[in-house]
Amino acid sequence: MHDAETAWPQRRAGRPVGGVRALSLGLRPDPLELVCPVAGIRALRAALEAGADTVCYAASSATENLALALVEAVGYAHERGRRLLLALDGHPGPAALDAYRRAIEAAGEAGADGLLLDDLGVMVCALETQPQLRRHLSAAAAATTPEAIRFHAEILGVRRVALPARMTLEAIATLRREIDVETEAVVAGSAEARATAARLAGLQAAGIDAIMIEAQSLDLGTEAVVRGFRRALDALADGRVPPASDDAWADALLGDRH
Amino acid sequence: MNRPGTGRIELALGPFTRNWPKARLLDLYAAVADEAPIDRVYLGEVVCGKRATLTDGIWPVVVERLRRAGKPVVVSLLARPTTARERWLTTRAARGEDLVEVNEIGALAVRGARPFVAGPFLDVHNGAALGLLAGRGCESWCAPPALAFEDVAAIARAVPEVAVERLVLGDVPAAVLEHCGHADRHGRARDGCLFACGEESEAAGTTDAAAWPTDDLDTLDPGRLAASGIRRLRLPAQSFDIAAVAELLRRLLDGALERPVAAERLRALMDVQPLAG
Repeated sequence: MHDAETAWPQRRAGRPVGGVRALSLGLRPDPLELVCPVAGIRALRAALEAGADTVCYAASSATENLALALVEAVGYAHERGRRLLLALDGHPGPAALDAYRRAIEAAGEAGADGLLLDDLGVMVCALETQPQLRRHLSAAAAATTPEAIRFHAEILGVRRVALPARMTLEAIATLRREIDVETEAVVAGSAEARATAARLAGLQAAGIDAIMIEAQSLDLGTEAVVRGFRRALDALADGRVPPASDDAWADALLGDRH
Repeated sequence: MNRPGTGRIELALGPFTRNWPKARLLDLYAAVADEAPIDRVYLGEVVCGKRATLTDGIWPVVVERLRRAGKPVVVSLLARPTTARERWLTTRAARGEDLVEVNEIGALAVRGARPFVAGPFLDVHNGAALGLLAGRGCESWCAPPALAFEDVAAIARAVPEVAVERLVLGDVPAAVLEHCGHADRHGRARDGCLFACGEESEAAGTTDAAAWPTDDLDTLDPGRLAASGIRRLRLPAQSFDIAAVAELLRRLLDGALERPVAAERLRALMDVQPLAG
């Protein structure tokens, strides 16, 4: 039986012990979780085959029966020991809120591992109807101050906050020291693979828990991009932190396309 | 408490969004205190935390004068506190006893159970979101400008314990940007802006502005407003004769002026250029 909460990696309690500090304490930092946004079952399969730990499933307008699609998608992820979040970002007006509520119920019934949200009202619906579903705050909510994150964590039980791609490593490291929720960084798989590799190493040192691949980067092909990120993160987890000028690292990140 | 369909619709004045010199601000609030039929005044720097220091000294005087004139004052907080100083200022005000308008959700992490106003920069788009805030002490909510009239009305009906306010007339800041348009135009960084905003014309804004369509006067139908549950209209602090505009709106809402006549006079009074985002 798949358990919604134990499915998530157990992070060390309290303040994060990441990167440099972990190394200085003789600890290996927790490996970064790789999260990939997918907009349908085909992309979901490609992302999981290529090594994503978690997929963030956004229903497309072509999805006729979300409940059914979710059962299939969740089943596929769980058979491989991976996780699925339903992405329900955006700010529904009063008339659209019911559709969000039904989607939340479908996610709960399908046994999804959580929700990616950014609207206060949608979070209230999730808390009321499917409280067991983990709530992650989308980068679109732009909650980047400790106070804003604390509000979401304490009042709405948000477990993880996604930080916008433009945040500097210094700002992330400072923020990370002031909050007690998991953080996720949106990262673009840029054609400049070395820059991406350096960013990943920097993010780990800043204490980030997870990497969300920027959706636009996947235009180059979900499988290839996810595979590049997977190799890069595996190397990082092995303690191989290469200098930014290392061509082999760049090749590992984007593989043949580099 | 007013219920939908009953009671008088109030008028409020929103916080200023431009870098105006002290003398101009003093004139504005003197007119509001003495001449304008405004029921509630929001004031405070919502756009740029650095600018707040330029006008700090006048606020005790302004607030005192407005209160003596019987106008409740609500302090509007920054829409995007970012630096340590901005966060400290916002948190300090949010911890205080005075009624504040919260424009960024983080302020609520320290507000406790004290009443507050939910400002138009908060992402409140449905009754579930407003219900959450109502449970935490939200006494009024000013809807974001992007929300359609019928949506605001639906939320007002769903959460009757909150006095719902809607922006009217002029242009309204739709979002406060992370970078500063004034500083950009002067080729300066935000941190070293030397208050470029004070060197520019009225038309240049720091905010990403959406023009409120002055010809959309349907929403100023007193009957339709009363039925909607909206209890207060918020005028922007802009370059028009605030006393005259408020007087005209008051007469329209009281049924003392026909809508076509009011519309024509409003257009003449509101001859302002839209902001260049």
